Amino acid sequence: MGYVSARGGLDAIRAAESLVRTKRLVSESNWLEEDQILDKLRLLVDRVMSEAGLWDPRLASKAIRQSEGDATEAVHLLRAYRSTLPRFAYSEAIDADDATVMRRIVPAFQRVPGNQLLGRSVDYTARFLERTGDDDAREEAEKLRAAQTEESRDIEPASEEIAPRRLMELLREMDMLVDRRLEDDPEPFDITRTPARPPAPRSALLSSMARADTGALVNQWYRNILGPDGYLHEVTLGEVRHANMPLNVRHPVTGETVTIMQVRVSEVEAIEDLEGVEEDRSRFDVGYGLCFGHNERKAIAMANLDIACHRDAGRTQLEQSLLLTTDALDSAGFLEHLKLPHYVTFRSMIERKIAVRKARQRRDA
Amino acid sequence: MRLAPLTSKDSTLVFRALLQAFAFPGRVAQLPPHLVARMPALSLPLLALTDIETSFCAPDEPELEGEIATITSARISNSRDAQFVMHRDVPSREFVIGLGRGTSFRPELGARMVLAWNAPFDANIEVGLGGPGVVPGSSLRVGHDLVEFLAVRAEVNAQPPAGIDCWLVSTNGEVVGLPRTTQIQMQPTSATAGRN
Repeated sequence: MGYVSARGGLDAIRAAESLVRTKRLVSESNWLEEDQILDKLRLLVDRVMSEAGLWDPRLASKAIRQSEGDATEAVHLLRAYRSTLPRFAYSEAIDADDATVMRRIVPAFQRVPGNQLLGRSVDYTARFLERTGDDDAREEAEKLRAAQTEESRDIEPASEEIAPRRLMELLREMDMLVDRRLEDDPEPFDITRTPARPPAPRSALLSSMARADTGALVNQWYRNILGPDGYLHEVTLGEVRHANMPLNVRHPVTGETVTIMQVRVSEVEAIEDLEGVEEDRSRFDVGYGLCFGHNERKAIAMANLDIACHRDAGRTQLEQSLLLTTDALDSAGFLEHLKLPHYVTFRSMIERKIAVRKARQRRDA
Repeated sequence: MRLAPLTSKDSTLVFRALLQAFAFPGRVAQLPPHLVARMPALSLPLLALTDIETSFCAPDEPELEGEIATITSARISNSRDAQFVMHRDVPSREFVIGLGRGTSFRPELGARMVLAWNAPFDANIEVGLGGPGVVPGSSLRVGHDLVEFLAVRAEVNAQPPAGIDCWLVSTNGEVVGLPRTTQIQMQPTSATAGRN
């Protein structure tokens, strides 16, 4: 975690805190309900939960309200809160195929095992800003609600739509994938307990990216994909999923595995064309991305960077960059600490300048 | 069973009180009264701060020790390895000397101790406090037995940043933080035994 503490005039600090709180609570507009944030700003809620590393939509909406919509500040609030929570149990490893899919697209193949399920997406929508009046929008909402109730009676998704077979299985059957599966099953690296430093196991890299700032990860991906670092990738997405995934723990008394809740995740498998001299050019490799909530942008960047990092094998600073510079709290914390008093530091810098100048004057005299 | 699991909200309230106590050493903070009314105040810090990944011991409260382990899943360990230590009576010099202090590179491994504080009932000695977060002129009233403990505490905290952190907790939920950075000066006052 980065820099958070402040010292200084206590009264001034308290007054600043009071101003923030008063302006937030006392305003002319209606009280912003948690349900509204959950429902109307769902993607922001998902992003904050993902970057905070805490699945709790209601707490995330509280944090968004308290932070007045500042996603990084909301992440900070949730991380701080999370750090006070006790751990009661460890979750069991789960098979991603146990997830219930709400959206699943396979850009690589038109006809895939299972169906393409577009679900809730604006991927094919022209971006026109809706300037409909509020009354008209409410009227439309009523009509849609009525129509939705009618439609929902008939819809019963087929099992192959809920848990479709993966494209990767098909590619494996075609012997088109390199097999990087390991014989051993090491414990995953816990980035909440120990900071990950390169060289780090893949679980540390994946955990760090799953919790990373979305913008930072997309930036890393774009830099990597465009080639200023010497790479030019041929990237195709195998699976892009938005799904409900069970969270299982072992019951402390019976020892049985029980599902205690469901979390929504975005999951991506990215197919990478191998063309390196030492690589198997007759096959593809796969990168994996998974993060909390509906955040396909982040999961896609993560999957591509996972395989990019594997292929990079420590030749560049990619791994270091991913592990050390993509955390929202670290980077924003370091940046924002610059606003805190640096009187002593700067005074010291001035004195060094004066000393250099005096030395130069003595030399020139 | 005298203890019960804390809700996350109650856990946060306890955490805030303990944080406040450490932020302002010597200043009395208050554990949540509704929790103090339901269970021994001494156990609240451990109920809030321990979990499946932490170790603790409460050698002179074996019953509470068992209950805390059951509720929080924290591991009961020997005092040398315990991250958290709860003690009803003032511990012996050997016990305190034997607590984990961490190292220069891993000061966070130093033990955090929760110790019963009988003030103001038998506190007749006033000690001065100094160090980060301490308001100048602050003091603390303690009993004779605690004075001996404070002397040993100074010994184990003599090589910073290694050391132990303490919370003194009274039966009615008052809590005073004595992080390892706080220095204690013995000073005679009108309330001391010597004057009386």
